[in-house]
Amino acid sequence: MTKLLYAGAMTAYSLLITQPAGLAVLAVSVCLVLGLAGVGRAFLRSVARYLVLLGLFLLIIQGIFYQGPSTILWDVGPVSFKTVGVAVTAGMILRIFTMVASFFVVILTTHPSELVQALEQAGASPKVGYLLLATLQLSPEMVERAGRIIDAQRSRGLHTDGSVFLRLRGLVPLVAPLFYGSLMSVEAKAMALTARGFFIVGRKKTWLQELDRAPWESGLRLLLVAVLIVIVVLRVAGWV
Amino acid sequence: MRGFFDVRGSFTPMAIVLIPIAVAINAGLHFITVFLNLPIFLDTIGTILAAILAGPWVAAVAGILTNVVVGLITTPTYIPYAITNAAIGITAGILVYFGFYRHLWLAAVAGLILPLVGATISAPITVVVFGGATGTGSDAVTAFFLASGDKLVAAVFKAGFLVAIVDKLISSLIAYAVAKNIPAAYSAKFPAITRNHEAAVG
Repeated sequence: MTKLLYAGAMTAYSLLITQPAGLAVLAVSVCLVLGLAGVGRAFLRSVARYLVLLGLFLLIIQGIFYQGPSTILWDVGPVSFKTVGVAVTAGMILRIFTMVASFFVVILTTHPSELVQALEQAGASPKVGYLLLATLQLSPEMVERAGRIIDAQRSRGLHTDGSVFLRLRGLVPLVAPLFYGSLMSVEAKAMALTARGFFIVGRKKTWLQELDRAPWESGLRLLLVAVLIVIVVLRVAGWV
Repeated sequence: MRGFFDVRGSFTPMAIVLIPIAVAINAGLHFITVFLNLPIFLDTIGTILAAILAGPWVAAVAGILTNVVVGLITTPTYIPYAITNAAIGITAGILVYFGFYRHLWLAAVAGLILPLVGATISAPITVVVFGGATGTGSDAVTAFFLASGDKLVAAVFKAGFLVAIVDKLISSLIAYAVAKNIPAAYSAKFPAITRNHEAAVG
């Protein structure tokens, strides 16, 4: 729960702060947390390439097309990069980095069921918990099923390469089984849940495992909220 | 009107179980399009289907969860666009209510309305959160409109609409075809359909 608040708070901070210097401080702090949690390398492997790509596009869009007065940084043929645009890009990238990285820490260090348990104990409806957990479990399963359908249809002679229109036609025999198979399972799952009393209101719930909470968590939460208030005040005063 | 748009009445056991399935369908379809190397996403069919079977609110939740889950699993930058997918779910639900998924050509019209709504909601998100870039192919289109003199929001909106239009059109038509072939005995188990039978797919 504290982790989730952390990610949410970092996102709020990064959206509220407009000065590149402030954003850089945020980004560095997230880097420290990434390192402490020991997930820095995993983060680099999965997200860094995407961020670089996004940064390049941003540089092109903001750098070249920034409207307003600005000194020209350098000319490349017919286009010219403007300093303000590049500065905007730097701020943007730092902001996106902060958001992505702070959520990444939470995802990599928390098991989904722990997250859901924490949410429910904080008062969220068990239906919300079910939705989150079931979705997280079913999506990879469905991707796997899609792979099996592709194999099955190819063994029956379906073309999965060729021109765009040929491939579009291949879509139908691939998509239809996926739909009907999964829609069928809806009913079975609904019955199973009902039979286990999932939809009974007001029942007492016990947990298989207790969550272990560090003693300093409530202090950290207070700190996050306090920093948020400070940033809002600074923003209103126009300092960040 | 009340029955179909009733928030609490929408979330029956069947509908709650449908939501993760709809999200998973979105994920599975996205996988198929990647496999077939098609330049479309099809990741809203599950949402539209949820709208047809269980109404706008269920579809909105399915839309939000799609982006949150994809965001959690692969690219966290999807998460802000959960708002877009919620809007698409609600819009699809309203279209279903007015019978847009009862005829093929109306489903095609719906396929034009959805990207319009999607781009309207996405463009401000792209500009405010990401400064106008998305890290995908539509950035090239954005740059084109910028070069021809558009303001940033307008350029992002146009690019988003153009890229989405083919995708949503095909999604809409597939959702129509699937819904059409769902046996009545099955669809009758969803409250939105039984309470508004004339509003649902034949």
